[in-house]
Amino acid sequence: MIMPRVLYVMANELRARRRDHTLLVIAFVGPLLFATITSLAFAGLTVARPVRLVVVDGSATSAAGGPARAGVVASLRSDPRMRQIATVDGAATEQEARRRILDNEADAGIVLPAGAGGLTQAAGGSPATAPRNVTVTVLESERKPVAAGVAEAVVQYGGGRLFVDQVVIATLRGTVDDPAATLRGFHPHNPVSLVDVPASARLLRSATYYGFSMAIVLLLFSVTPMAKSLWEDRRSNALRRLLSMGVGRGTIVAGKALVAQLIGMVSVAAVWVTTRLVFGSHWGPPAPLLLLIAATVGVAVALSFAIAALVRTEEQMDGLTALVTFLLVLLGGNFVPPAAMPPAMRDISLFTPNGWELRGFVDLATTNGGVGLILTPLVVLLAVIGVLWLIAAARLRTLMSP
Amino acid sequence: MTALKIIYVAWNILRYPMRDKVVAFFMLILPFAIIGVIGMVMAPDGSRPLGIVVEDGGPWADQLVGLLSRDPVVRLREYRDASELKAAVRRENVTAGVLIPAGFDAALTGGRDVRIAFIVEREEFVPAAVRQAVNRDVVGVTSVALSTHYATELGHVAPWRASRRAAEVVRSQSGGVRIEQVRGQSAVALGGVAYTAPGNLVLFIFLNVVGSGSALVGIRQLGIGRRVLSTSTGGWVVTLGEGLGRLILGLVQAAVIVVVGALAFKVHWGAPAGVFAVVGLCTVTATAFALILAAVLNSMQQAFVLGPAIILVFGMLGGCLWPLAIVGDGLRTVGHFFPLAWAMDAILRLGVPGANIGSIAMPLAVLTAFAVASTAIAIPAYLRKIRL
Repeated sequence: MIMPRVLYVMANELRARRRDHTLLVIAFVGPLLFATITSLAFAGLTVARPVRLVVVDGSATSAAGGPARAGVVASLRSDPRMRQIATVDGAATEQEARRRILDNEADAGIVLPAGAGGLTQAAGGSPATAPRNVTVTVLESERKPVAAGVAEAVVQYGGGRLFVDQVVIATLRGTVDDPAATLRGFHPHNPVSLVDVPASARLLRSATYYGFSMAIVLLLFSVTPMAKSLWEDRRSNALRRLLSMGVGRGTIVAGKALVAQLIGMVSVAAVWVTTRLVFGSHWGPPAPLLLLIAATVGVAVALSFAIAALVRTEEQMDGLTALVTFLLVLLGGNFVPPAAMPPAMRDISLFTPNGWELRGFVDLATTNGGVGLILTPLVVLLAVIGVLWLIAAARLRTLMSP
Repeated sequence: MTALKIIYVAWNILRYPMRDKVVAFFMLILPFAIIGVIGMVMAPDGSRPLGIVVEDGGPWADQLVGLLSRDPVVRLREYRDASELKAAVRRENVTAGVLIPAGFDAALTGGRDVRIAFIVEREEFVPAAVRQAVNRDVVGVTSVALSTHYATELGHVAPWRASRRAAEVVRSQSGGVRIEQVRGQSAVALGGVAYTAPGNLVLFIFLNVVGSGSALVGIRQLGIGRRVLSTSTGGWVVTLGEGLGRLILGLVQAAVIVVVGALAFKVHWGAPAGVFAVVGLCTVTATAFALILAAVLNSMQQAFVLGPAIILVFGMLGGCLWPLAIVGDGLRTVGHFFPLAWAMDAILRLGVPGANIGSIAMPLAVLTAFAVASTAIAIPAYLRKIRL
């Protein structure tokens, strides 16, 4: 008997929500729009490899560019490891290099100063007496800071070898007659290299992270109308009529909460499907992902009913919902990933439910693991749901009293 | 008398935020919380957490760990093994990770190739400074190790003496290759609060003024407007009073952000006349948007939820949340269909040393056009609606 009553409350609630166009915008259009804009905005930060570098000899007086540039360009082109990460071209002047970056003809630039010929020799593998404190300038495009990072790595690769040679030669000075010539016979080389290794099976793309992140930004607003309808029912005396007909408080709340859960899950799933189709985002294996989405929506639903139970007016509910949403979004890492946050903020993110939701999501999106991988986030989220419903239960009785 | 009535209507609007704690939070606390948090995130300085695993200890591996632990650019966090380190990087508990492999010392002294893994998750969020610091310290240790090896083998110097001499050389030659980054496309500093403060100035003027539009819908719904019109007070008086109240609200919000930003966050806003012009035009446009929303929407709930959501979308497209320099041409063009992007262009340009109001003539002209056009639409629309 209880179940049909719950279904009746649910059907009634769904009918009411069907007419609510605001909910349609907030639950579906808003998250999709947020996710699309954020993904498109940050997509530009990832550059395709190999990046296009332009090298210029800062001390060159002719358009030919000087021996340093020619040497560096030739040695980088001949290095198979370098060829994988960058294509290198020369420019006559620094101004030309800047223009090519501005015109998107190059991704980043390297300006070699006078005396950087040693860099050539180092890149070519032969030690030499090189000048101290060589300053190389990397021209960074604001649109492609990652490309400047690659340019830095290229300079460090050549520069690092040069530096090692410098130190070896300086250390040998005084112990052998001609350190550079002596070393040449031994063909020394730097045996240590720093190699980028991905942390997971799939690198987390911005479109993937922000797809889920933005899907949960507006979640509280999407599920709030159902909790708020308790206030509306109280105002219109519908609540009193239902209670007088023997419908229990638990049944009314369960019906509204289940509709909120349903709408929330469909909203997140809509972003999932759209980002999958439009951006090719991989959110992880479906079964554990659905569990995580269910728990994520469950927190929002429990929070909305807890807020409804705590406030004294409907206006307070709107204000508190907005306040809680902004605080959680700011602290949990929805707009700024935890790694980019200051240390204290990073720890604070794990005091928010959305911080745990994002952690579970990152684990699923970057690995092929199952439910076991997100067990801790799930347990935390269930605990949060339990506490919030306890708060709601303690206060909802007052709100729903005839 | 009419002027007094307008001021009285405006005053009624200004009393509301003084009493409402949530509005006070949105006006006085949230902007600075965002400026502070995002400012710290975008700041070019500051150390970043770096995870490390040493699979096989040894003097050279220990030296590398020592160098990294003293490096001001990174803060080391040790992990037990590679899988734990990768999980930390994946979960973004650390910016990146360094794995010193087993046999590192033996390979280094024996001249065999050895690879140190630099573990990353998302390359766009790994600050170049972290990679550079790790590389610098790796090169430092390698230099000393190789120098010790060759000085011992070729120069017949005692290993401890060779090692000490090499370390001295490294110290004296540090900075043998120094990398200086320059901006390729703009002279505007985009790091830290220098960006987030202008972004939040523009965003919160619109957010709070447009957000207050829900009260306008309430006035209409309750029939307060019609009741006022039944007296000798005309619709123009109500509309101008409502507009004036929101205009002052926006200017107060802007003044708070500008003053606190300058004093607490040391933001250089630039020429006061230019800042005032931008703020004024933004506030007029935001007020017009609030009146248009109030005329178009049917319920306070709609206005309360949709107003801020629309402004957040405008803010994303307009560069209030991130620099438009990093987005593609298409998104940047779309952003400039909205006034927030032009306001950001103007306010950022004013921050450049030597800039004055003349430097932002083009954005000011566009903002003026937005303000005039939106006001021309808003006033008749709201007037018509309150008479219904």
